[in-house]
Amino acid sequence: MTAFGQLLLEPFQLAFMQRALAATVLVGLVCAVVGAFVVWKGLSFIGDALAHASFAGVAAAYVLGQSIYLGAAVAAVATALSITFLSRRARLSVDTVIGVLFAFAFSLGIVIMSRVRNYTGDLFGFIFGNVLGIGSSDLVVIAISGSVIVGVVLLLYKELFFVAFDPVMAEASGLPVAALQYSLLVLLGATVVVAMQAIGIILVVAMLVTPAATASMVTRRFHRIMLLGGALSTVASVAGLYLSYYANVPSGAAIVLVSTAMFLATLLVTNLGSRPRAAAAAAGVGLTAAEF
Amino acid sequence: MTTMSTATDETAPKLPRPPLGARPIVELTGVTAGYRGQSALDGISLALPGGCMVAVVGPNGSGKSTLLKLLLGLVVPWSGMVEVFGQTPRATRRRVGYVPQTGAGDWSFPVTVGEVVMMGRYGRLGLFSRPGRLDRMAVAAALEQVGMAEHMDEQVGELSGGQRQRVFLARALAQQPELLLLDEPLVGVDAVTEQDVYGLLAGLRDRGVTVLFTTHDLSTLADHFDLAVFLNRRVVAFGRPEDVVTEEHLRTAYGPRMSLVQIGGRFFAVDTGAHHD
Ligand SMILES: Nc1ncnc2c1ncn2[C@@H]1O[C@H](COP(=O)(O)OP(=O)(O)OP(=O)(O)O)[C@@H](O)[C@H]1O
Ligand SMILES: [Mg+2]
Repeated sequence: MTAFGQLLLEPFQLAFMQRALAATVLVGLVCAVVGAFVVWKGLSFIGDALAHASFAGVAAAYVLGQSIYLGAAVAAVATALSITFLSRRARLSVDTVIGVLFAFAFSLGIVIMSRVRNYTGDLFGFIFGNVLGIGSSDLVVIAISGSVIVGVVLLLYKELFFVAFDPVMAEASGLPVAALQYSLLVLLGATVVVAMQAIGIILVVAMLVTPAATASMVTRRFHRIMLLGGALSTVASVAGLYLSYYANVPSGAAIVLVSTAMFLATLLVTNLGSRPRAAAAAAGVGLTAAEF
Repeated sequence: MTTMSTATDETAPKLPRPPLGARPIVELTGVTAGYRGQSALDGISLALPGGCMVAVVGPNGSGKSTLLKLLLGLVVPWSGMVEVFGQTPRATRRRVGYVPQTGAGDWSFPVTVGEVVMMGRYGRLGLFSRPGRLDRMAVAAALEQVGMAEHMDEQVGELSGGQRQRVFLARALAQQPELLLLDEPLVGVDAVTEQDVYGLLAGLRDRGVTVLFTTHDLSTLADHFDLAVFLNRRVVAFGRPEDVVTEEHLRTAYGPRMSLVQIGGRFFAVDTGAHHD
């Protein structure tokens, strides 16, 4: 065994690192599949909002002694519903309503938390991610919910794709457009909840957006954006965990840094080939990456 | 693909009059509909026979697009009754093809020409099932018919306006509908393609498809259509194109500036009050 081989193998001889690897790869794949819609339908703000809103659910579940995942899911779905409902009722743009609700739900989470005496460790893990603390039962939850999310996207792929491109024609063809649009939001909320513990509430949006955005610079076929995004996510997860292990930095942040590095490298390479189209796509999605 | 020209029009097969008492394909009875409290159509009644090509004409805002949307169930009537194939519009959507007036669709979305045309098959396929060989053949044939076969793998967002129109037409064709609703499908389409499209639609009509087609091109109505509906929030006239596009109807709908001018045996609707430079 070479010294280098030893360096590669060492981290994953530890059980908690194996669980961390499995969790981040699974989460990365789910995020890439849903992320293709997030990037191309401009859902990153709502994704971010659902992630922050789920924190209120996590805090409430913690206080009530209920399942954290259940609490987060309820909060995310309730927020998604309220956003749609309020933007229709108040005749305000969806963005505005998201801005109002997202801050409200996060504040609610903070208030609930401030009432708990020994909240430190666990709850902060959800905000910044705590993939190294993922237990076997968490992994089971991630695996099952992740498979359900990807399964639903695959089952409804052609309908979601049609509605994303042209909702009016989809309606004219007899597709249940409102139900499909709502399903996409629920899938997004579920993805955020699945990714929450592994990557942290604040960084979930990067998992949703960055790999799919990178893939979009390389291919313009929607299903390939999902596949390539999944591959990029997996690379980022593995490399990020190594970085986390050896440089002793938080794993969620390390994964996002690797993912962003791949985004920038792709941006550079596609621009060196002087393809204006790729450059335009990069400019459009670059904003999201610049937030980090 | 056949190319129709005015020279062959006299001999072009005209559809026999539908037998009296045949059930209409499309039937509207006293329909009033509109948007946000403003009516766009006021108590219109109309019955269209099957297997014919019908032009829908009228000024901007006269309710042509609204009529087509009523037949798809995209607009719900405030009062009156709409029936397509003797059923409610929602129940028959799968049998009805539609080319919306320009502007539908998200042009930045990553989708190829082939994928857009395949969407015409989705209604037929139903939830959960995947397109098969038959669907791919229908897509290829539809693209061939509109002359876009070689653009199959291109991004729709990178096509010209006229090419996009042709892709939308191909999507409606791939659906193999019994009723085809076309909302100004020739806007931005070049003259040669326009003739091809009319030839194509005549072929469909001869196979029993009913075609409803909105247009502002009044001068060639008689060349291509069996029937015409003149709308102006109400039905101003309905019948053979030559009986519908008359001086009197034009003035009723467009005001006193519109006139019919005869040039070389053909009639043109012109705005006699406008300055041309
Ligand atoms: N989505 C909408 N919301 C509100 N009003 C509408 C909408 N669509 C159409 N209208 C109104 O309904 C009336 C009829 O519109 P419609 O689109 O049916 O006209 P049209 O005959 O198709 O006109 P054009 O020749 O310009 O296409 C117009 O007065 C228009 O302002
Ligand atoms: Mg119109």
